[in-house]
Amino acid sequence: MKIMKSLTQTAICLVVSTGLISFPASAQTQKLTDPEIASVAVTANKIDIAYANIAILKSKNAQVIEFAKTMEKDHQSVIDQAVALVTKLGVTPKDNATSKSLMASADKTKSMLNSKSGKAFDKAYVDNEVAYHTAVINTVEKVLIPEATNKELQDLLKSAVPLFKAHLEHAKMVQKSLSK
Amino acid sequence: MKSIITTLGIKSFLLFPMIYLISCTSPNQNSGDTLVHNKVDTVTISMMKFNPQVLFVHKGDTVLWINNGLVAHTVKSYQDGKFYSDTLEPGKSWTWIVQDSAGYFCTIHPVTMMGKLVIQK
Repeated sequence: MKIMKSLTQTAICLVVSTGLISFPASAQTQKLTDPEIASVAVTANKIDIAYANIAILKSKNAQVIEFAKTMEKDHQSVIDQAVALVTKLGVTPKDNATSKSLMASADKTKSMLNSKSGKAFDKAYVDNEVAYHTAVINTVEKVLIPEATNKELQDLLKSAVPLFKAHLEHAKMVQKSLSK
Repeated sequence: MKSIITTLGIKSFLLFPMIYLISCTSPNQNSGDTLVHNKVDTVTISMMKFNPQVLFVHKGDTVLWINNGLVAHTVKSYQDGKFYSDTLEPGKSWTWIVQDSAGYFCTIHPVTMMGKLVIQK
């Protein structure tokens, strides 16, 4: 059973690290606590809002801007509900190796996005959104939900998965449109 | 005399709510032969879906969309100008009286969220 879990976690690391996001292997081998899970969830949403804000400022493509505005609003709603829940539960989100690594990786991605302009920027932003949402969905489904012990926290994470999957489909549609 | 008036008063008092209840629970009959149902059907918005995705209704029915999801949504007909809700934040609802069949979608999540109202004859 331990071997199976280890293999699953290794697989997640591989899937996740194929994009511009990486969840650290060291953090994946230790079970996350609920305060750490809350921190990872809030951080992951904040990062996508930061990417969206760059796109809203830099892009001239209406489809890209509209997508970015949806990301900004939807991820803020998830943060608001996560904060409301942890406040209710009396849990304080706790920084950990995973959330710190996410922030470090996001800084690199933001620099990369800020160095581009025009169509190259649009492509880089949307490609990153596809990779980022793919990684986040995998992590939420295979790490955060199974490791959360509080049912309300688990339910909130479960209800966020269809939202992130809808974002992924939307990002893929914009990606396809940009490649024409 | 006073007793008769009191009795009539009590009977009217009892009769009025009964007539009112009957008129509210039965389908209304208009001047023709068509039954007007005027019932309320609910579409719940949750897990990024309209539930049910296809709703069978009668002309004149009211459809109530309730947003039980995590984020804001809208309800807009594919045909321009037919219907378009305000932005429904989580916990908010919106109603529309159906006159004919229509496909609709969420303008914020147009790729994955769509539904249909189908008029039953």
